[in-house]
Amino acid sequence: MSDPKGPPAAGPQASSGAAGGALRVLGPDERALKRERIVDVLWSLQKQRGFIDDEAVKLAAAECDLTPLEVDEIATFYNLLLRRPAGRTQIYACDSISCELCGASKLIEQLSRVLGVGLGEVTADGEFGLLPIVCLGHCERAPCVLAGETVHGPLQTDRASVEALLQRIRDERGSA
Amino acid sequence: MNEVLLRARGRHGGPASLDEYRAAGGYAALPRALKEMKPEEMIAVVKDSGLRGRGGAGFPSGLKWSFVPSGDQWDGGPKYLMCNADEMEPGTFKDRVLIETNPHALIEGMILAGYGMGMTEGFIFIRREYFRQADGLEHAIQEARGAKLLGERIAGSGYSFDIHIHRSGGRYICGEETALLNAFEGKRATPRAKPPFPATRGLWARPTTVHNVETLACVPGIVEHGAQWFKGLAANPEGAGTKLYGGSGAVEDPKCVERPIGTTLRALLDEMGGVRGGKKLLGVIPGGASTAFLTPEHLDVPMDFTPLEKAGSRLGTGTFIAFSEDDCPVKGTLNLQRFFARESCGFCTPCRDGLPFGVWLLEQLESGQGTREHLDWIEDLYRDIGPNSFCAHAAGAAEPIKGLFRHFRPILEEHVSASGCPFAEKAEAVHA
Repeated sequence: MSDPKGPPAAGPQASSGAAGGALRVLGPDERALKRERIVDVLWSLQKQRGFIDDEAVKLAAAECDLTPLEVDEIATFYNLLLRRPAGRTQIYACDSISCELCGASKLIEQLSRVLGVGLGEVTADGEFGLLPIVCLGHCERAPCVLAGETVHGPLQTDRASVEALLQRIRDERGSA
Repeated sequence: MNEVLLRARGRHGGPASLDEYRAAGGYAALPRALKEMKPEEMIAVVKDSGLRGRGGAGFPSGLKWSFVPSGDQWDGGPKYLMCNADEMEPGTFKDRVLIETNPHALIEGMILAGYGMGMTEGFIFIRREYFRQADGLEHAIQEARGAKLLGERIAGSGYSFDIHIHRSGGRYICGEETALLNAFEGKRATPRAKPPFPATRGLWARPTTVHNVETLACVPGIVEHGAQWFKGLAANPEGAGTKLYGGSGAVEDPKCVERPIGTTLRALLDEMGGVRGGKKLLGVIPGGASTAFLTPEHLDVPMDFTPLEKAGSRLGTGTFIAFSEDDCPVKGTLNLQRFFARESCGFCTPCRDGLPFGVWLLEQLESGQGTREHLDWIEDLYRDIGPNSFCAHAAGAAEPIKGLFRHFRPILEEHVSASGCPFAEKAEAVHA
């Protein structure tokens, strides 16, 4: 698995002008990193296009000097990278243990009922995708969901509260 | 008590600014250490302090530093510091709290660690879900650069070090240090074979030290006040330092607090208002999903590495998950196993295929289809897959199973004899 080209030109390099033998550290813009940027590249393509379609895989491959196959290995690996349409806004509902002990199942059921979709599905109008996710690291606010870039919680699981949550998510998207 | 890791807090609950961190004594140790201490002296003080890794495994940090080639062993090429902020262990949120509260503690810790190990570049690998936290860290890094605490010739010394942030795509296995390095390099995040260990061949096949956020944030205090001071912070004789403890699940007031390492579960639980709704405690998972259940008889065990190992579990991340008398430990373990099965990277067979089988077996018990034979299969399966898989993922999954069978066998048997979950009705009532 070792890279035949060796490590890229990153890291400290002796600077010609610096006195006292101090090392100069390359800034992120100066380094020749390519494939290291793949997740960022895929993320910005996903933001532009809604999800990572086959065209985006090819674009990312060209950008990062990878084959489309290597890009697809990565695009299909991460929880937040979407290879299929998943609505304009994804609601990621945490289903790990701390949220589960605080009613995550009930919350997901209610979200599912109000949105009229199951987990992994998109609402008919394409507004929301409802997706499960592992622990969001906000366990003191369980049960919680991630929508856009915001974590919401602790959430109530009754219908009115879930409808109010969806409205908050819409408002936030509107102001973003 | 005096907080060390969280010694500075921002106004209005935001992250502490550079000025706020300095007002709390931050960056006091740095210029002096860079001028007066030799790198080997820094390694020695961290060794003497007894600091153990806060990411879950508890490896002695000073020893880890000493594995990085230096002197005649070093070829003079780059060495890297990698901060693991890929916090995704279910029930764990302490690193997020630290980054949100006091990001400069991490930055100062990274500079000092970098100096000790002769590194000039560090990276923070953070899960993408921590959007705001990564932004806060970017801001803090800019502040530190502006004040000449980061970059070339730090604080007028001859030492240069910089920090960059890498935002990942969110996947539990990226917390495994070698998977993290593959993920960073833009490869599929499967773990690497060890040896070679990252200390000699890590990032881009160069010497690399991977540390948890909290571990690095412990370093400024140790360098400033010394090894004895750090040892003296602990609540138990074999411990060292403070610990960010979290409590979630069935607790009245879930939160993260910094307390002397070795504080008992009883004290932490009391501070969080006890079990939710005044119920009785059934048990806890003491430190994230890959630690074994403990029961109320363990309430007075110090929450530290060695005492919890003696009690048959592990400190893990130190963020406990409480189960009340209404919460079924079998159902809770099923939830944990669904997590482990979903987050298996898929590289090796025992983990990729074994974990879903474990989920299926636990589902049989919960749905009333379980038999005694299923109980035996569960025990056999988890005994086998851990040692036969490529990394520690499946072994971690086996930990809560061990605790379940050790402490809750009667409940497991009841699932068989009653043809279903005896807690089902209680759970309905709680979350109705």
